[in-house]
Amino acid sequence: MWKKVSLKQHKSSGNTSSSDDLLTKNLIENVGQIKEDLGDCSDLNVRMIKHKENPFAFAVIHIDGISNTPKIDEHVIEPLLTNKFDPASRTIKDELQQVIAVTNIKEKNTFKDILSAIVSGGTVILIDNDPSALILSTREIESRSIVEPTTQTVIRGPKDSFTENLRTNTSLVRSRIQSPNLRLDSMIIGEVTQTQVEIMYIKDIADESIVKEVKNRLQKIKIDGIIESAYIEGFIQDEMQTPFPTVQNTERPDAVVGNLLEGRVAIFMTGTPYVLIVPVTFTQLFQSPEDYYQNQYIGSVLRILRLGAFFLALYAPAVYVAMITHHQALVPTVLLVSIAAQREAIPFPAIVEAFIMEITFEVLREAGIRMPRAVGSALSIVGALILGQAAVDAGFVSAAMVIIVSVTAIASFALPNYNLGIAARSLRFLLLIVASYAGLYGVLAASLIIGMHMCSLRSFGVPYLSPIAPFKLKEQKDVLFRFALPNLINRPTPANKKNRVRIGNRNEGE
Amino acid sequence: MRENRVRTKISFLIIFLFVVLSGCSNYTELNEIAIVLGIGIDYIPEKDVYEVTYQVVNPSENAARGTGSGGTPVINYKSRGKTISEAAGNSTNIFPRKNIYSHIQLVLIGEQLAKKESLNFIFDVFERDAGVRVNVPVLITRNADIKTTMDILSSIDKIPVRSLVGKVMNASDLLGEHGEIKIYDIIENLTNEGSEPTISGISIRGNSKTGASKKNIESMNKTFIFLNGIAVFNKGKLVGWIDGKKTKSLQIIKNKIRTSSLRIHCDQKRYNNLLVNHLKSKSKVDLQNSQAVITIQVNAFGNLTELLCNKDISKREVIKEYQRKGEQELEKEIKDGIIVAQKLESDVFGFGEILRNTHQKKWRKSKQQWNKLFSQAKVNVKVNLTIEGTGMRIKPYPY
Repeated sequence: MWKKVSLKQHKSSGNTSSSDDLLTKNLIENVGQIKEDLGDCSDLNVRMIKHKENPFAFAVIHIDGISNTPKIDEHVIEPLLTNKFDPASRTIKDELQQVIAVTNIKEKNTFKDILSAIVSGGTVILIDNDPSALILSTREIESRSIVEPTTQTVIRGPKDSFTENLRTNTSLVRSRIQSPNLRLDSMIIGEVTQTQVEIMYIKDIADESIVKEVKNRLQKIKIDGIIESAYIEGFIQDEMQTPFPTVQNTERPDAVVGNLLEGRVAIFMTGTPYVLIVPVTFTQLFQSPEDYYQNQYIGSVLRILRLGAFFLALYAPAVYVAMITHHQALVPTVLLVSIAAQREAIPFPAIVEAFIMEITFEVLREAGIRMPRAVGSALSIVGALILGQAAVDAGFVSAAMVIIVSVTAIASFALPNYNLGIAARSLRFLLLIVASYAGLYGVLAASLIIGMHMCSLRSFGVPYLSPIAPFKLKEQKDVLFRFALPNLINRPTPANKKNRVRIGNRNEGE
Repeated sequence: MRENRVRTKISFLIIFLFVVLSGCSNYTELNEIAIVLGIGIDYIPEKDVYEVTYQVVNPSENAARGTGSGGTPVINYKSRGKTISEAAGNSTNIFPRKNIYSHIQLVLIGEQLAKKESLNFIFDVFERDAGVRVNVPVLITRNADIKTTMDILSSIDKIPVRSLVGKVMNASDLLGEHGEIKIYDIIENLTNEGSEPTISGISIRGNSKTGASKKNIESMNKTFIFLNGIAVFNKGKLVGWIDGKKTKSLQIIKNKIRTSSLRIHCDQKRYNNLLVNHLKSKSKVDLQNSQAVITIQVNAFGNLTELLCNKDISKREVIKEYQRKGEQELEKEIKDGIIVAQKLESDVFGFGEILRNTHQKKWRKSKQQWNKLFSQAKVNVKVNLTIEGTGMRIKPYPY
C-alpha cells in the first residue's frame, strides 16, 4: 500500500519538469532552463566560455564533487580556451571531438538526457546556435580505498574486500577472472536514486535460464530508490516469509570468484560493499572461502563444527529448558542435582529465566553494534559483570543458564554467514517457547515444521536443501566434507548442465 | 494460488494435530520436585505392611559452591502402606515436594522382607511404572535396619546410596567377589526356571548413632557400610549367605569377573599373590543316572604381583609349580562356593538354565526336583591357569 502511494507521488512530481523537451538554439536559454530544472544548486558549476578570437560561445556544465574537476579543467576547458575554431565550419562538434581529451563523448539533444548526465557526474558542453550538446564522461566519486574485510575475515586468503564503488568492485573480480567469457550486464534501478546495478556471470558456466531469471526479477523492481543490496535481496528472493537467507551476500572478491566458477550469478550495486550471490543452497552457507585454502581434513572438520554450532545456536536453550522442566529423567543424576542446587533459590520458572538471559544478551549485542566506539570498554565491563556474575550472585538466574546462553551466543558467531546466524536467532525464541510448553516433543514437532518449510524453499528455482534433499550422491564431495581439490571434478547443481567438468582435460570425454 | 491455499491448510492441520495428539504435558520446575536417589523397602510382619524409606537429595547441600547451610546432603524419611505405591502416596503427608523416581540409584531390601516375605512382590511396581528404571542396582541389608543403614553419612561421595553403588562397582572390578545385581537381573532370575537370584549384602561397621550425624564426616573415626556376603534365595526367600572368597565362584561361573586376586602357598608358612586379569569359564550340565553332573572349564591368565619366598622364578619349573598351585586354589574357591549353594538347595549359578538350553528333554523330566538334584550334583572343576608376567622385578629379595 505504502509502496504504491509513494510511487504515484514520485511520478506526479516528475511530470512538472520539462523532461522530454528539446534544446533550443539559444545558449543562454538552454543554460537558464538547466539551472531552473536543477533548482540552481550550489554545487552546479556553469562555466561560460567566450574567447575573444573565437566566434563560438560555450557553456561547460557539471556538478562539483561527483565529477573529476582537474580533468575537466585540463582536458575540456583548456582546449576550448586555446583552440581557435573556424566560424564557417559546419562540423564544430567534430572539431571539438578532436581537441577534447576525454574517453567517452556522446551527443544528445533532450533536456532529460542532459540532466541525467549532469546528476550522474558527466560534463555537458552546450554550444551557441546549436540545438544539441556533448556529454563527456567525467564521473568520479570519492571512495574508500580497498581495505581488509571487516565482517568476513579469514586467516589465509586474499585480504582485499569490496568498497562502495561499483567499478572498483567489478575490477577486483575481473582482475581475478581473466576470461573473455566473464559477462557484465548493467541496469538502472530506483526511479529517484537511479542506482547502477550490474550482474556478473561467466558465460557457458552459469545456467542461461538462471541468468535470465535474475535479469527478469531485477527489471521488475519498481521502487523510488535502493540504498543497500538488501533492498534488491528483499525484492528478488523467492519466498518472502522465511527466516532463512535465500540470497547470499559477501564482501570478499574471492568468494564471488568461487561462486561465479560454480555457475552462480553475482549482483553488484553501487554504494555498498556487499555483493549478492544467487542461487543459494543451505549447505553453501556453512562454507567459508577458507575451507578451500586449508588442508581438506581440517576444512571438513571445521565445516562439521560449523554445522554443530548452527544446531547449538538453534537448540541449546530450548533443549535445556525442555530437559529441566519436562524430562528430568534424561539428565544424568549428578548434573541434575547440580542444576537443581543452582535453581533452588531462583524465583522464576526456567522459561522466564531463559528469556531474561536471552533478551539481556540480545540487548547487549545490539548496544555493542550501535554505541559509540569510545564507550565500548564500559559496555563490555558492565555486560560481563551483569551477565556473568551479578545476575547469578543475586539469584536472578542460574549459572547453568548463563552458560547455555553464552554457548548459544558464541555458537551463533561461529557461522560464516551472518544471515544464517540471524535465522538461528529468530527461530531459537520460537523453539524456546514451544519447549517450555511441550518439552522435547514440542521441540521435535517444531523442528519437523521447520524442516518442511526448508524443503519447500527455492532459490531461483534451485531447491534450498540440495544436494541433500533432493539427494545427489555425486555432489556430496563438497557438502559436509570437503574432499581433496583434485576430487572435486564437477561443478555443483546451479551450474550449466552442459558444462559440468571443472578439473582435468575437458575434451577427453567428448 | 490455489495450491498455496491447500498447502497452508495442510500445514495448519499438521500443527493442530501436534497440539491435540500430544497428550498431557508434565511440566514441573526443578525447585518443585524432590529427586529420590535411593529407596529402601522392608516388611513389618506384625502389621503386615511394607515400610518404604526414601532418600531424597537436598540440592543446596550438594552445590558445587556453597549456598548450603551445613545440613545433611540427603533427607531420609519413611512411610508405610500395604503396597509400595500406597506407601509412596502416604509419603506426601510428610514431604513438601513431589517425588520423582527416575533417578533412583539404588534399591535396598530389608532382611526382614527377604526372610518373611517373598521378593516376588516388590519388583512389579518398578517394572510397571514408566518413570522408574530397572537398571538400578539392588542390595540387601544384613543384621541392620534399613533406615539406619541409609542414614550413615559418607564423606567421599556425599550421597550415601551413591557411595554404596561405588563400593559394589569397586569390589566387582578389583576384587571379583561382588557383582552389580540390577533389578532386571533379579526379575529375570525370579521368573526363569532353573536359576535363583543373589543379592550382595551390606552391614554397618562402627557406631550407627555417630554414623548418622555430621560427626561422621568431621571425624576420622568413621562409621562405614561394607559389603558383607551374598544373599542366596530359594523361591524368592532369603535362605542363607555365601561369604568371603566363596562368592568369587558366582562371578566366575557367570563370567562377570574382571580381575581378582589369588593367594597361593609357596612354602609351609608364606604366600605368593597372583592377579588374575583374564578369566573365561564354560559350564556344562548333564543328567546321568538321575544324578546331575556339572563340569566347569576355566581358562585364566594372571600376573605374579607379590613374592614372599626366595625361589628363582626365572626357572620354568618354578612358574609351572605356581601355576599348578594357583589352579588348585582357584578350583577350591569355586567348589567351596558351589558347596554352600548346594547345602542351601538354591541354584544361584543358573545351572538349571544351562541344562534347559542344552538338554531340553532331560530338563522337562527333572525340573520339578531340580533344586534337590542340584544339591546332590557331582561337580568337576578344571582350571587352566597361565602366568603371563612377573612384574617389574625378576628375582625376589633374598629372605
